[in-house]
Amino acid sequence: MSLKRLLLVFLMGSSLGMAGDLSAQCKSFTKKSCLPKLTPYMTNGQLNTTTMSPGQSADMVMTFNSGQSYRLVVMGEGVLGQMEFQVSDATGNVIYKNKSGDVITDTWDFNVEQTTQLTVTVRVPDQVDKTQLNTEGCVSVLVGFKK
Amino acid sequence: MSRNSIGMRLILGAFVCVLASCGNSESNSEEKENASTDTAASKKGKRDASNAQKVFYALPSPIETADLLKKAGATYNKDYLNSLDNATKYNTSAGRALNLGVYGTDLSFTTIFDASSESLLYLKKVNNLASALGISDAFGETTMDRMQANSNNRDSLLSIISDSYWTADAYLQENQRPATSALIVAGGWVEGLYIATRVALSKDNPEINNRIAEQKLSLDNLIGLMTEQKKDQDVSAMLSDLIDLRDSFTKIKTNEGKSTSKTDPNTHETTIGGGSSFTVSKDQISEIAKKAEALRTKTINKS
Repeated sequence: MSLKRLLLVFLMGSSLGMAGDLSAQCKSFTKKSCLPKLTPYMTNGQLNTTTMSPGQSADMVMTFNSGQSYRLVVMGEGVLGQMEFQVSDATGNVIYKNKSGDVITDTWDFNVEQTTQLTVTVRVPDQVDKTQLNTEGCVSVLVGFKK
Repeated sequence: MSRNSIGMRLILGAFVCVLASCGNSESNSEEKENASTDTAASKKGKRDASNAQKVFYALPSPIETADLLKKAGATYNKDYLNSLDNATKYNTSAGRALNLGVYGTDLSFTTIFDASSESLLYLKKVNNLASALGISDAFGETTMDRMQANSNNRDSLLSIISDSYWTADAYLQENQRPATSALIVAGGWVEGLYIATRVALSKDNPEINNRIAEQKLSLDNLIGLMTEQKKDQDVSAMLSDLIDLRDSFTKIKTNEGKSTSKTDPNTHETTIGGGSSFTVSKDQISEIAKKAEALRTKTINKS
């Protein structure tokens, strides 16, 4: 195998290892910082986490059932600042925003009168200091329900 | 070899490294486009989800589904559940993943209906399949011990099961196995629909029929989730069956009400009004039940 090919394989292997490290970091962040905020609601069992950079957004689409109460937890690692999120119904109407003036909350408790599909759009705030290298960090969106 | 030549090679290697990272990260534009095409959201002309870097398709947990059916008047019938004897059949990763989902739903049902001795039997099968898939930490001996210690406390049992599924999903995501995760979710959803349709066929119950109709929405999300992993041949096979099932759900009339929201100043809990309502006939339920049975049979016989 040529030196060039060896270097290629090494660098590709390193990049895959880095992806795994980021996933482990996100899992750890979610477990330590986010899951406790769901209590006393029960998790729906799915890990919705990804690494994001300032200015990026992510959507979570889910059906919420009538007769249940839910808690939504949306958090990002400290380097990203406080996450902003909004909730839209199936026709795109925004029915909730977590930012009101200067106040930003990371949890939202709600129930639905009729079963409905909602989309949670999470946005990482823009980077304030443009001279800094672009940061990235984990963002988690958790859903819990209560009987 | 000159220094410039070595430098160029390192830069080239770094560039390949970046490309490899991009290939391992979230949905590329083609996958997002396909996911949008397959979901009801895009069919309704909703805001374009592809503006987002990542789209998560989340589903209600099997525990929630079981709870909803119980509240709607369903009674426990162990004949609806996948036989424990079938566990010896599951020798491939796909068979194990799908039926980890199936048995997980069965576990949820036995627990919701306080069939505690059966819960422990199903937990053991879940543990065996999880171990075979390399995710034994989620449903291992510690979980078994906790379930036995809390066998008389349904809420604690349900919480333990929920946490275990989260741990399993987290492990699979961390280890770059989203296709396996998707198959577990799919197996669990299919089993939940199968049980619901068995209950519906045994006794006419408008509330149960409505809960079945509501699965139209979850099915769209499940198809979205599976579409993201369709490069996996087992996911692709299941996806085809789910799309065929969706054809039956599409016949159900859906009315979208204008959404309203009101927050209780004391509890800070928001109530969302409006939402979807469904008009479903017995014939439509029968058609869905038939397809659900066929898909479930295929799933539990997947080695």
